[in-house]
Amino acid sequence: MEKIIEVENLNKTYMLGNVPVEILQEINFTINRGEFITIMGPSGSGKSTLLYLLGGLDKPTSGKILINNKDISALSDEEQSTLRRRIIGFVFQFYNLVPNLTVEDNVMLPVLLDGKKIKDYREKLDEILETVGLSDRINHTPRELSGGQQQRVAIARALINEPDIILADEPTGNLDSKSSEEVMKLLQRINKVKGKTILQVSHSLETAKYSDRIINVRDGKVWCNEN
Amino acid sequence: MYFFGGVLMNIIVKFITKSILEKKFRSFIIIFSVTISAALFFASSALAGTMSSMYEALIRMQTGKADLLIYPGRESPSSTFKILPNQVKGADYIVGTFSVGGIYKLSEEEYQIERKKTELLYIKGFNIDELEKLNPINYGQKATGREFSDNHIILSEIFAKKYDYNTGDSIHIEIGGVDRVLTVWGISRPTGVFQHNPQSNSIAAVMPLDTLTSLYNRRGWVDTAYIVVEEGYDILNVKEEISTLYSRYVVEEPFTAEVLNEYLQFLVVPLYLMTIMVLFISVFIIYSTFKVITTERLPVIGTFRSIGATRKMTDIILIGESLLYGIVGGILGVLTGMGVLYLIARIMASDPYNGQLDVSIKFGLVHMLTTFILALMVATVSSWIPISRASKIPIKELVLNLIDREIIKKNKKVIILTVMFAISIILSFITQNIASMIFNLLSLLIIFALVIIYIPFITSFLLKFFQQVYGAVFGNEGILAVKNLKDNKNIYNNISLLAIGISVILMINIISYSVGIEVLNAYKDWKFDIMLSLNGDRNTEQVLRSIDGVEGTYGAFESFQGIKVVDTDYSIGYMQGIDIIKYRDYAAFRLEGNEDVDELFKKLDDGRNIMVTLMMKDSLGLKIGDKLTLDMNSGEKTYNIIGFYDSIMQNGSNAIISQKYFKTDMEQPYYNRFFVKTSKEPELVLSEIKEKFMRQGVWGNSISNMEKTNYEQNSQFMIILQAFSLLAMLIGIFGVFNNYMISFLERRRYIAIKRSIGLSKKQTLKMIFVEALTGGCIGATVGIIGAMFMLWIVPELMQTIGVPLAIHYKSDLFAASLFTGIIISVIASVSPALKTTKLDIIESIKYE
Repeated sequence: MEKIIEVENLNKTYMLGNVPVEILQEINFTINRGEFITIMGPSGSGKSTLLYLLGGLDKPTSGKILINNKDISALSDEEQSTLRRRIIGFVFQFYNLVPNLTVEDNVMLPVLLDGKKIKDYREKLDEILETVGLSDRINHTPRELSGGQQQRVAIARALINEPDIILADEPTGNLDSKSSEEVMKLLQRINKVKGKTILQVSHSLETAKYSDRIINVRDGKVWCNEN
Repeated sequence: MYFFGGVLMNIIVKFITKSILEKKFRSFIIIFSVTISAALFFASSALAGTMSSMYEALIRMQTGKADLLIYPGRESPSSTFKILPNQVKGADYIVGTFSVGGIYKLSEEEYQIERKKTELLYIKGFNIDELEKLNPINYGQKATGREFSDNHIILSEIFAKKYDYNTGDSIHIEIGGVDRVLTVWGISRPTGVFQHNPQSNSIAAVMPLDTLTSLYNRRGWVDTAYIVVEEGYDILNVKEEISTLYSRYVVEEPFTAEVLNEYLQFLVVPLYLMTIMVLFISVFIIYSTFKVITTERLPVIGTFRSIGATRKMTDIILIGESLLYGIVGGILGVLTGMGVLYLIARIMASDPYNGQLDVSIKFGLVHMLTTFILALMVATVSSWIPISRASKIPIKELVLNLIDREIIKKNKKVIILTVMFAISIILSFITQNIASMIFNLLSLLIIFALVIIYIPFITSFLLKFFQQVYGAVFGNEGILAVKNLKDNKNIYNNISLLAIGISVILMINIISYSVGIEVLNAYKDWKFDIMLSLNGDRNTEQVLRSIDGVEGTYGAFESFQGIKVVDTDYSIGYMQGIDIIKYRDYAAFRLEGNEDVDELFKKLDDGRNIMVTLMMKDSLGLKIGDKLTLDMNSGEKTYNIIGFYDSIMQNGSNAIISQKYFKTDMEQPYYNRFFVKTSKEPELVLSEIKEKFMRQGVWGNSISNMEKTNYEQNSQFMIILQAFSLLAMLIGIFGVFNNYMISFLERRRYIAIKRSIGLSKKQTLKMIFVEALTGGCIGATVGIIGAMFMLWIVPELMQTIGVPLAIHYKSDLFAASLFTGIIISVIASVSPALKTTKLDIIESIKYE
């Protein structure tokens, strides 16, 4: 199977005042294209930090993160931004939509940021909104949507540029059980039908069951890496 | 309980102080706004008293300690009188004087330097002891061992330095047509009776009263008497008694505060207007800043309430902060106001007509107190709405942070304000004087409020246009910028501040430009080169014509005494009795309507017919055929209005009648002015004219000089108004900077979201730059529109204080305004933009 993410001897240390705090220590693992991975661990274990490092939102203290065989930690800001537009799509726990933009505008943001013409993506937008079940909400703003609907908009935004990887930080953390199930089924569909590699961070075994493999992180270390 | 209350208050005070010190720039802006508003208010309110005091000092230079003057008027039997021996109760002492003109003939050497043949002296005869008591001389040099008597003369330092005279020197001066040899007894500095007026042709000198009156066989007679009233006596009572004694002479105070205050209204009203505009900007800034402050304080207030603090105690947290700003701003405002007042007084002290005034500011405890109270009110009233809203939030919502960010529908406010604006405009047109002024002022304030209310609508409209264009010009970052601007309240605040600041500056600059053009136009109306104040007849005119360089002359009959229109409060400031044939060769005449001017002018000679200015027409509501009864020197005379014309001479208060009727009705058989056309350099010709008429004493000036002096005087005042408007803009600029920082803090999370999905640092900078550029454009555009509205109202307002003002536009000023708005907006966005690029994405993304 083709490797899409490789993590080699990854370390991350934060300074709390003058005190160094090791969040991640000697993390090593690989993720193959098309896998659905859940990263689990107790609070403060460093799982979210790991996710952000993989997405290029933070820089490691040492070690490498290779995405499509490219070391992303060595990239410039411009290159990392391009990575987040084209290769990686992010889904956050609190959706992180822009409140005064419509659903259409929120979904199209990565397209705009990539300098492309919106009219070239109309068909794609309709298709994605169909996939997430929000075709009838295209002109609504986030204030007019439920939590589950907002998260589906966030997923649509993550998909618009056809990224290879979707990174999701507690995607159902702020949803009720019904909405959580809807969102997880959607992510599963995206993984199976579209072949997207999905990494999610989660506390919940309920959501972990949708994934192919679980990577357990504890005290900054990979404790277990199993199907 | 009291102890607990005291401890809690202590905590609250510490909390307030810490909060203020934490956000230094924000605190600085609020205090700066309050300080400047208070300072300008202080200066405006104390200016009338200060200028009045400075002009009084100037006048008292001439009159010394005198509380009353006696001098001959039109009704007096003679140009001189004797001081009566009668003791007037309350009159401490009386000092008489007799004044004549003297001519000093320059030597050949002096002529080469001064380029004139004579120097005129205004010689005043005094008893030296009496003069020292009334208005002591400030000697530069003084003779010793000799009494001031006989052929002694005291010269002004100005004259002495010019022609190199010292005490003991002999000097030849022609007095009464006879050459006299006098001895310089002293040289005085140019103060007191030796004060020099730059408009005057002559230099002061003093001789013994007895000597001077003897030369004219008027020994024992005086032409002016100065009376000093004893302390404790009412001047008006003494004046009444003296008027009875000297019933056929004029008895009056040397200085009437009412007359001066009327003149000073031209200065003070515009300054108050500017102060109100600055106040408005300050109130807006403090209001919008306190909205942010109260939002920040809510969690802490929730905590306080949840542990037992009452609503009153938590209100103190919010009100206490605004009070503290008011107190600090008030104290600083009073101190700064003194400085501003001093600066204004310094600028206005160089009066091109009256000479250099001594700068001394005058203010009382009442000015300081009212300024301090104003500062407190600005701070507390501006913050009241956000505070009272925060105060009403239920404790549960505070604690659980459930405060909803409401989108307020502004339609109602728009309708109400627009209707108010329309009503106040209508009322300003149909009312008169003070009422009209109040409605005009109200309209101006409503424009500011409308600018703020309309900004979201105008911005939405303009953004639709920008969105179309930006895709091509700035790419997708431009489109994103436009989307960011929609419904962004901080950006709206910035646009409002820019709009208000630019509208004020543009308005003042256009007014300044217009005043300059009007001065130019006013003098263009005069089609001659020299104006002479000279009493004369046709023989005088012949003499004038004989002077080399004089191309043409027009003898004018004029009155500046203010001719009352009977049964009204109106006085015609400038009345001309014209020669219907020659007049239009010397003065432009712009008749309203299409009637034949020649025919109308003929009608002036046919009877008591009069033409008045358009401004008089508006002031008195006149029409053709109306009758005007005028209180003229020969009694009340009724004139028939036959036409209206455009003129701003004497601020539009002028009228023309035939010279035939002027001579009889004003009892003035001689010309009192001459207009002269020259074929040579006017200054040279003027010099020749003064030479020719030196014995009569003639005042004259070239039109170009008069225009320059007028322009100088207006410029002084416009500098002050421009400074006020710059201060308004400065407050606005600080507000814009602050709003950009607040906007950055509030949008930090959303920028981080965009960064997380691929917005690069470069794109961030570009986006923020485009936002700033757009905000600046919109702010400047709305500011220009606002200024146009204000310029529609300002002339009406100025007319209510008797100052006609026609507006002239200059495209450079509009371009400069647009440019300024953009520059300010872009510069203000630099710091937040750079901060944005250093954003920690993860920290900023976390839910707040």
